[in-house]
Amino acid sequence: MFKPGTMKTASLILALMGLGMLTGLYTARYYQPEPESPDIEGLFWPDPKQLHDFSTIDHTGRGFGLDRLKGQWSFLFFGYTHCPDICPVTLSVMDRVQQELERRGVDNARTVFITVDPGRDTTEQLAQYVGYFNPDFIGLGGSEAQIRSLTRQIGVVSSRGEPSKEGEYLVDHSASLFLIDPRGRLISLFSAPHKANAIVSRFMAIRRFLGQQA
Amino acid sequence: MNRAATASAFRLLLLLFCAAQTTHARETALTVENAWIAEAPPGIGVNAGYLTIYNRGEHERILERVSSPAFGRVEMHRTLVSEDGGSTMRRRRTIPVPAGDALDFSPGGYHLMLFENREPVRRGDNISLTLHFADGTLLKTSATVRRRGDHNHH
Repeated sequence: MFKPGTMKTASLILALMGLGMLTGLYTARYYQPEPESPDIEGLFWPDPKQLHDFSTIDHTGRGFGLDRLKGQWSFLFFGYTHCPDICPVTLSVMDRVQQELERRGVDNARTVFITVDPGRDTTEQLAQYVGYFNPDFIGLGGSEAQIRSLTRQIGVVSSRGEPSKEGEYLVDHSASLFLIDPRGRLISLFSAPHKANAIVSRFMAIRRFLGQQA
Repeated sequence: MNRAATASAFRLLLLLFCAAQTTHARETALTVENAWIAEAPPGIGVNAGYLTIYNRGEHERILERVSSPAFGRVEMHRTLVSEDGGSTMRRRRTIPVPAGDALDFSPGGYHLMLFENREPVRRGDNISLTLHFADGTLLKTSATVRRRGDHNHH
């Protein structure tokens, strides 16, 4: 025999159980957990750094700020045209990367070379230098302060060596490539040594991953 | 000619032959291969050079300098990339080539810096390089000027 009070409690428990099941069903169907950081090397996720505006001068003499980075993927490399080894090595790797991306139908990725040696790298020097590696490459320069408006945000430092008696000097700088996404966020870092195939496959993985997040 | 004279002449020949063999062995113990010079981008007056040295001998050899009739000055450098991604260039006065090993001058690592070219350096040119080792050995090679990325050198 059940007392009315017991019946009440039982109904309440049943109702709660039903609600719990429904919630469970709903959760299973509609709730997707926050995606964890995918297994992509060098990816800044889930907190890519949003760049703010900067003011550099491109190799054609036009101003180049944050708006020019938006809507496209950009591989940034910081170096200088008198750089004997790592800069030309990296830019020729990036030429192969661009060719391969084009072959795969990616038409919104480009390479941007930013000088850390504005004293020697004039607009004209940058233009002939980047154009030698790939006609679509962009070269950025300007005053020391203008260049710093970008390097400071990426966290790139450089230091000039002592000049030789011939007046030549070397500049220590980052050997890494930095990938900026079409929203102007620093999304990934690629460490040297750079290999074209590895860069292409990682870029494709990042693009796919960010496409899923959109 | 008496018998003794024939014997000593034979011995002398044998000795000369052995000496020649030894010299030959010492020479081929150290070889240089795949020498090439990267064409300089426009506006840049310095070329980078790359090559591989093989030391098949039993002793370490020390590379002291490299010279070329086409350049006023040749330096040996190494690109170093630190853990935080910073790259720096170090000049090397001497570089050891361990016995039974190879030394690679390749992009992103050891490289030759070729300054003060006496003639314009053009793609396809063959430029003579001489490697000077601490024991006095000289090794000559010819380096072809190429555009970076135009070959499968690794």
